[in-house]
Amino acid sequence: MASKAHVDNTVNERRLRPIYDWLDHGNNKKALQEAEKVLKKQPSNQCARVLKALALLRLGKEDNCQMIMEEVRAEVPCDDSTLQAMSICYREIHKPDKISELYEAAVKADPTNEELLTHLFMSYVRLCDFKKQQQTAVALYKLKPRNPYYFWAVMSVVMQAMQADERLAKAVVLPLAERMVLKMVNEGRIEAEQEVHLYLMVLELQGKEEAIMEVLTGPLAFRLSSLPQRRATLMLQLHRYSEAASTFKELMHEDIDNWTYYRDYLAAALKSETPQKCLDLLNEIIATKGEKARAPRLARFELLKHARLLKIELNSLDSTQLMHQYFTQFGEKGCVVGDLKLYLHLLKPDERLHLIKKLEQDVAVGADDYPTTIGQMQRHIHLEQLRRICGLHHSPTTSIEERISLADRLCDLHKKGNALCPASDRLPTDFCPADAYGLLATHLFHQLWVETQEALYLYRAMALLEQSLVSSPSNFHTKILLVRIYLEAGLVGAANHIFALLDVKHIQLDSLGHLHAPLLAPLGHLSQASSTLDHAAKFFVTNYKDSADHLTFAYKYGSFVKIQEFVELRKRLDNSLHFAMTTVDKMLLELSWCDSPNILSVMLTSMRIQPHEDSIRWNLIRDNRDLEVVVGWEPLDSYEKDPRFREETVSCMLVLLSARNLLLRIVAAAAETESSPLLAQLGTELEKLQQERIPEVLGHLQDRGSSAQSILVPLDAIERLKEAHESEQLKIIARLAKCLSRSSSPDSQCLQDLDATPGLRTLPMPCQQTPASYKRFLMRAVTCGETLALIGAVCCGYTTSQTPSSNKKNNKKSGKKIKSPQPDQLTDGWKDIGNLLVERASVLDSVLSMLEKVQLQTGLDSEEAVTATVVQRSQESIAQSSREIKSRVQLTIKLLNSLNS
Amino acid sequence: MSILRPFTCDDMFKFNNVNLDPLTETYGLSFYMQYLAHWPEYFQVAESPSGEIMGYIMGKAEGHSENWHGHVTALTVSPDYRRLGLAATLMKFLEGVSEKKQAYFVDLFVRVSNKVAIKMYQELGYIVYRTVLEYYSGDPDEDAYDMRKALSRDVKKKSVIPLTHPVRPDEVD
Repeated sequence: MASKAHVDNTVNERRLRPIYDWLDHGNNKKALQEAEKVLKKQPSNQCARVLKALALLRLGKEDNCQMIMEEVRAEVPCDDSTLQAMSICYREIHKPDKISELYEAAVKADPTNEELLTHLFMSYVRLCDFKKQQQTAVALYKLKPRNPYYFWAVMSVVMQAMQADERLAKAVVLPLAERMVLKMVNEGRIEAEQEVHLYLMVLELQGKEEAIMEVLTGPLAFRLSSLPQRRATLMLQLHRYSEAASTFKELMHEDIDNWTYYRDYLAAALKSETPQKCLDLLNEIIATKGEKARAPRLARFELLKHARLLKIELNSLDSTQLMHQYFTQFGEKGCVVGDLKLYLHLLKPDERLHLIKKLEQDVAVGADDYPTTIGQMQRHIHLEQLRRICGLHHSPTTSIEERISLADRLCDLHKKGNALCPASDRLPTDFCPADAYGLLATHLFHQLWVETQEALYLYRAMALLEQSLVSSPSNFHTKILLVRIYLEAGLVGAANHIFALLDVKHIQLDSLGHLHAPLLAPLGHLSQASSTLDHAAKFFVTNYKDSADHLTFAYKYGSFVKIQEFVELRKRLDNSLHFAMTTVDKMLLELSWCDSPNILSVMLTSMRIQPHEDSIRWNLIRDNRDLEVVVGWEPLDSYEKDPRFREETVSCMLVLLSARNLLLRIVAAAAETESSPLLAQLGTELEKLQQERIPEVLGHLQDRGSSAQSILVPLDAIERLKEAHESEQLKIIARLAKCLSRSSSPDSQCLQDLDATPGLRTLPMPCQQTPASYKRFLMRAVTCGETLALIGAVCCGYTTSQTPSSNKKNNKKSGKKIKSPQPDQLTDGWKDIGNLLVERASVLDSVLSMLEKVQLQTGLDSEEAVTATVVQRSQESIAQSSREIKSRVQLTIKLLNSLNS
Repeated sequence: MSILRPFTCDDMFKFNNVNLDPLTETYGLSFYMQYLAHWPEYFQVAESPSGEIMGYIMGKAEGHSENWHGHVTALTVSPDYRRLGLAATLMKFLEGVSEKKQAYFVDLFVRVSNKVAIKMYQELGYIVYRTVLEYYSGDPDEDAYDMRKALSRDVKKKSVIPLTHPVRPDEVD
């Protein structure tokens, strides 16, 4: 019997193999054919049927797929390959709960099957159903008393504790988990390091430090690594300072350049010894064996910092002199500036200047000289970065004129530096050390642009950075700054070209997306925006599916410490602010491309927007941007507040997201019947944003003054919010929504508002005689085009939803005592609005035609080869923006014309 | 000098200063998650005193009987923190973990053109065990050196007797 089953299995496997192969290769048609072939011989073969369903699903026939799946499910399949294939299907149609149901039924039919129970457990892991996880793990352990199953149960209890409120967790759930582990400990049945980790986690969550110490010093400790450090850190937590200090001291002697030990040693020692004793120890380490070690030297600054806080003077420590020494020793190393920056605030402003003076003497590059060795150049660069951090590139210490000559000087240094280390001496993957001069100069050029509004500085920065990339093509700092500068000038196509060189992918789409994705559409590169947003959205969606699998890995390998982390990562990605923004932007962009009421209605149906509810989970939103990736050396004084404006820009993004989400819901609402109350509500919410929230958020930025325009501050959120506010785009759409909620066609007030709104007119074209930034002009032109498209969509959606049953609707309206206009008045209102919008669209179209032909002025030296690169990229970018905004306008005009009929 | 600590999921949002370097590959999420789930102790990050990621190492333990060994999957240091001995620190850590697991040796693959890395590994005691032909796809494909260092369990240093002939990627287990 057993052997017959075995033969059956092999035969089955051989028959099904080709179907799997075709599916793996993505050839779903062939897979389908192959499945049909098998089914002809064995019509009841469950696995073949499911594989057929999977092929159908991937061919876009979800309904057929579901039908087959239901049939098979009713037969309660228990064989592994059928169940696996069904799981894949359910995962692809986002129904992970069905997988659990599937295995529940299978387990019921075959309750002693370990494999089925394991799959059931994992299916609950995917659903984060911790209670059922626990039950299944316990069932598994009863069936096969293996340690992993037991600890799956424990971990499932711990996860329940994380979910429960804290009191319940501490009083009931965690003690249960602890008892479960203790049982194994007492019976001497702990087998793996991870099990001890889980034990420690349970104790830690209960705040039982003493008990942890017992584990760390008891018989289980041999399973753990880095024990001394663990013990010492715990002693620190338990306020056993002198023990902690002496353990860290030993560790420092063993590994004299490990910063953790020094940091924690000082934290402990300063509670049990005098600062002087700590200093003596550090000095002793430096003198005896720390010849090259940075850690003990940096620790002296850390000590000084603590002493200051404790108001203890360490007379023997001259911080200026120590920093001077530090630079003397490590001045060539890339880390020197970052290290010193941490402690420069310990010096008074005049002491800082004194330090800079001393360093200038040491580095010894005269005002008109150039470094002669690479080492000297690196010290010189680090010095210049420190000068910037000390405020020597900024007002009031330096005037605009001084900044100009400093930028010029840095450009010369960059050039000479490039000659000093020619590309032929390096691998193409190595950065040229002189690049850093260019980065510093770029920051200055950007400042000068903000201060003088002369775009020449932007073009000079472009030329400098493009030049820099020629000899040092892999420097990503150069690329990131270049993206920023191109965007500042409105040259989004050029920025996109450079951004592509960064080869950003996977999780970077989330952390770095803010550098360019949100600005592609607002600056006119609409189709690039569409594919970029699509690409990002796909990452998030795929990841959400995959992240459930990652959780199952962690259980499989018993990495209990990582499980909580994986759950957190899943939340972080799923609630990413960039993801939310991407989704809304993508839908608005697609809606803005509609050229007929029919297409609009198809599109709205496929998007499944729920205008009645706000689908964004605002309280869970996470900001995943990596803002530190933009290199910069902002003055120390600005560090009291975050020089990268994380909080401020997040508020901007959130308000912008709510505004654009409301726009989306208004478009969707207008296309529904009986939409009046909803339109009124959404219109009021949008108006409130425009009048209250946005001015408030932008006001906070203004309070921080000119530093809000630093190159380090993300451009997208602030610029886009400002544009939405100044163009009054939100206001006019809110008005329209409210108007349509009152009467069934636009009234004369609405028409007047539309006529007056700045959001439907372009700004004056930038002067063509001098270099100019096209950012503001393009942003407004795009707003103008988008507003036309969205108003068109609202109007067309509204009229279409009314037409088939317009009489009924009018009756209802009159029932609400709203005077129903005469039919010809009705059409007149729509006609007037249609005419006005078409006229605005035509004006926009002709302005863009002029823009397309603009001869760009850069003010750069036309002899330089790099000028041609900048001109070509810029010119092409503007022309492309014009063409794409224009082509959308053409579609919108078609849509608007339908209002007239 | 750095802080050495286990790599966490949150680090993936801020490792750009390291990963934007052209020699460092950014993999799909599942790749990192596999390593974090399976060999968390082998995935370590070096952090600067200011909290910036300076570099990281990811590895695993695999193989049977005398082939039981630690493997370096990726080792990378940010361009801003090179020439500080960081790679050596990270390698030392991985060797320590492998010793604790009683592995026989540690191995790694490196592009034959990456002279700097090869020299560094040699200074750390690694030898070229064999050449793997066209291991790295690209235009053109590039060979890899399979480099090895014996650990204390391999008393007779049998794992580091170089092969005399190159192998193809499918012959590598």
